[in-house]
Amino acid sequence: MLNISIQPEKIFAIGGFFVTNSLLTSWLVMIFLVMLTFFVFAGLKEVPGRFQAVVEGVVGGLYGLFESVTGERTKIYYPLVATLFIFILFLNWTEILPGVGTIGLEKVKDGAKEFIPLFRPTSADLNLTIALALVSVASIQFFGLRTLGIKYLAKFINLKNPILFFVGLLDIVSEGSRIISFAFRLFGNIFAGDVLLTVIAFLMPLFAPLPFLALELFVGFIQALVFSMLTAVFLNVATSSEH
Amino acid sequence: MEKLGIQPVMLLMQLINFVILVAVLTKFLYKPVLKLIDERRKKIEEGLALAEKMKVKEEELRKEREAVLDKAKDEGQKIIEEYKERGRKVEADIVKSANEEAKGIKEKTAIELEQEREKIWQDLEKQMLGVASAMAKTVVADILTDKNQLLLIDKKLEKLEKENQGGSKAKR
Repeated sequence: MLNISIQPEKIFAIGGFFVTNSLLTSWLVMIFLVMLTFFVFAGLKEVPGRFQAVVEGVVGGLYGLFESVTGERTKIYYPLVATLFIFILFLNWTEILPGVGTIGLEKVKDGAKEFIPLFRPTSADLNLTIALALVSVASIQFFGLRTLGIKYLAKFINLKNPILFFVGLLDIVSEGSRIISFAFRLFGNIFAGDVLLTVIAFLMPLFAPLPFLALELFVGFIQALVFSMLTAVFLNVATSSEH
Repeated sequence: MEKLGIQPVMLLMQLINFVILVAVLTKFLYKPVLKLIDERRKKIEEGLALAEKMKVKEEELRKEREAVLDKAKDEGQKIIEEYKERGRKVEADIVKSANEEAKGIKEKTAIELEQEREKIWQDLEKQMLGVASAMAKTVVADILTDKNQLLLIDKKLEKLEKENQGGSKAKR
């Protein structure tokens, strides 16, 4: 009865390509964000209305937030870190929505009935979190290389003395481990929250989930902030030449 | 990997999703909104600067106006003072000349009066003499002859005349 699965379930196939429930959710979130963007873009006015003021508050507020970390260079990083924040935030919050994890199909598999939810919070899918971690770490390397040039590589491969050589090796490992830490931090938090909400709803469906919903709202926000802020901090470290 | 549900295709799909989202949001959300915010901030800054400038200018104008007013007041006061002074002078002149004139008139009048009196006195003397001679004629005609009479009268008259002249002079 209780459906807890670490991996996303396949729900339908388009020409041999399986669409999972988490991919479907991320598409819906994307469509929502893109439509919102176009709606805002079409209605942009010099004198803002209430809705535009909110959007400006978010966009400008995020800019100020990241500016406190990356300073002058925020202009370059902003699209990356802001999109990370907004996308992850909305993906995280899908777990609060009614119907996510509860609307689904019954499927017979190996003779046993199995419930497959139609939607799954995408942050609770390692495919997404690893993809975002890869983007994040790859852009850290890219901006580091672009800003410092060959000096950036000298951080990793240093033949001047054995200690620095060993430190360089450690740095390579740490860059790799960042992918894992980024990916599993987000996945772990949101997957745990999803499981928690499922279990609580299973045990006592009426009022008990309310505080946990509020908690998950908060966790979703914090995880989005942590992911984007860490990216900003690492970008700042990678592009400053103190080594 | 399989147990965790990691599939390269899914991973790639999510990656593409994210890249598309970055591109769309950058083009249609961040850039226009940030540009709008910056432009508006610039406009507000300009407006505030203009307001500040206007304030300063207004203050300047106010001061200038006050200065002009003060100057005008001072000048007006000066003009009034000047004319007052001039008026006083004219007044004094008029009074002085009037006094002088009055004095002149008085003196002239006094002289005229004196002359008049002199004349009256002389007339009176002549008349008196006429009256006296007429009286003497009538009174003495009976007593004296015409010849004596005339001689006496003439003598007497000469005497009288002398006395009288001396007397009138002494009287003055």
